[in-house]
Amino acid sequence: MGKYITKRILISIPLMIAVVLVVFLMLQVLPGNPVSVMMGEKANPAVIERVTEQMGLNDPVLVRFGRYLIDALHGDLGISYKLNRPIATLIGEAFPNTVKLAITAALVAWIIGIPAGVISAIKKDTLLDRFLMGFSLVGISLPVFWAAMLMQFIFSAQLGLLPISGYTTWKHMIMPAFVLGWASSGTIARLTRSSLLGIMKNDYIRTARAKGIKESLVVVRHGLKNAMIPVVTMMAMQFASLLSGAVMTETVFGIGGIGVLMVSAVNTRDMPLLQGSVIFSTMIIILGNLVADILYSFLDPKIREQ
Amino acid sequence: MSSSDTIFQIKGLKTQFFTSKGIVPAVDGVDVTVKKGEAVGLVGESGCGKSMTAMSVMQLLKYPGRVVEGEILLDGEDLLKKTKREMDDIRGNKVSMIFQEPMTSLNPVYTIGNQVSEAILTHEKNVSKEEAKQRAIDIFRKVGIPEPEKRYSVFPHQLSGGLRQRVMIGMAMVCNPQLMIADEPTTALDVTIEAQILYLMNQLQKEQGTAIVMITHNLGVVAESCDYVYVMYAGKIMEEAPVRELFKHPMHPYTYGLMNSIPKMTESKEHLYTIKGLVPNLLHLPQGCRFCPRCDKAMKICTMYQPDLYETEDGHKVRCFLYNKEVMNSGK
Repeated sequence: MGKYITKRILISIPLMIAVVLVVFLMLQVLPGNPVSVMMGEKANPAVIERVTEQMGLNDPVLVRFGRYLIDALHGDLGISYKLNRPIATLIGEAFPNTVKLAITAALVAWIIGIPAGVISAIKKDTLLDRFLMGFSLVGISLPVFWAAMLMQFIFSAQLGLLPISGYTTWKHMIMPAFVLGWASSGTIARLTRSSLLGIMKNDYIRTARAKGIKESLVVVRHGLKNAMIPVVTMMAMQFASLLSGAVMTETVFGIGGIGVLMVSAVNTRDMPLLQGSVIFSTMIIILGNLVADILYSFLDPKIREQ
Repeated sequence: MSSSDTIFQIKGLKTQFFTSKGIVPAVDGVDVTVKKGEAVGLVGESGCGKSMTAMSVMQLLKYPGRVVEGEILLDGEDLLKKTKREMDDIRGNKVSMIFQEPMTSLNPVYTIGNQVSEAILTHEKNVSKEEAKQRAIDIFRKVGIPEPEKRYSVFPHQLSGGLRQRVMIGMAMVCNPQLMIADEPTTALDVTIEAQILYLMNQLQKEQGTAIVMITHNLGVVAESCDYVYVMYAGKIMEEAPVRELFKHPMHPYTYGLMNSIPKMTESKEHLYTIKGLVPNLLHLPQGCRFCPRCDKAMKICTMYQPDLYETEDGHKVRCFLYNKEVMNSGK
């Protein structure tokens, strides 16, 4: 078990470095000198040249990458050109909102998705199954911003039940959580259904029935634990992607999270901020996959042994 | 045959599958009687309905299969009249079953000890978890699993096929059932392990007085482990007899063919004997005797009428016109 986890963690480290390198290089390829972006169009070319030299921007790419990597490991992601504040601080301010949104949305997704999948599998090919799968499909297919605006129209504008945007009280969290959660719940429900249906065909399910265990317990105890192996992976990956920022939802509901931070960085050509927030998001995704792998080993004794 | 020592009886069982192509009569009027502590063999080729008979008894038939007629009497009570919940109490408790596939019949995410004590805890509500664990360890010892205390917390994939089948047998025996159905319990195992498993089952049968229905395609298994044999073909019983009698004197051409297709150590032959033709498609059964198209002793009457089970001397019953005196005397 410990060996397996250590191995997973060790594999993650080079992956993280590679991701940072790719993001770093991609932003190098983009045209435009960051110094001229920082100083405005009317700046003196000689000054620009001097500042560029001072900031070490004329150094070879790999030297700059090494410098960036070492700083990043110390928690220093540079300073935003436009906001003139440390990027780590900006991310630190935005991240709690994203975390709140991710947790509430994930809870909605799991609470709807897993039972819906299980019920669908048990009641396969009935009206209830069709309804639940239809509901999931709508959740997956609806563009998030459209569902969000529809909800804002109904629950805020028409009924006046919930605040339309902002992110301060628990009431603000309801609509964004539901919009994002619904979309994720669809995937979970469909995966849970197909996984459970596959598992229920196994010989050991027949053994459990032959033992005289009640059908509901056969499903939950013998079916679900096996069926959850792929679902948990999916859940962890979804959660990681929620944590890396939900651009649409954050924008529509005016939530100051990582997603909004990234969009504003793009709009203002704030390259260090964009680089910092993109790298931060990808780290979250990699960590999410790592957690998924570790959870996996708790469910599947075969993996635990390796 | 319905004397007081009969523990289990199947009467006129018909199980059919309602498919889109038509009704498949997988089990077509089967009668089986098992006495207390007796081992009865049910022999036949793949697809002859022997497993479906077992699944009908357990009421674990998969859609679109259904028992349409007959009685399944355990200790005089008809299992087909039981509710779902009553059947849950019987399965694994009074009637248990072991399956052909030891490699896949155990749940990979639970320890074997957990899975065996689950059977105890399901049926005996007043047993504590500790007691169940102790009993599971005891049964592991009984079925010959080395180091049972240690093995209690081992996962199925850490065991060999033979050991897994021992676990399955332990699981089936742990509630002291009146009847154990073994569906090809040794087919997936090596011959050496097969002998051990059969020996173990006979041992338990004698010790605990459990009646066994042994379902197999292997006549060797029957010879080794059964007291009485039913030979099944295309959903019907073709011949039944005490095991010695059947081997000494097979009567039905099908049984005869089965025995002839076993290679003998004393003869050297270029080719093995085979029964010509294939098992009939149950959707398009021949009008007369079901074995008729493959039978080398077929007569005219065989293509027209279905024979009954005719009782002959020495406790034999045969479904073949060759043993009907009227037919044979009239010379059709």
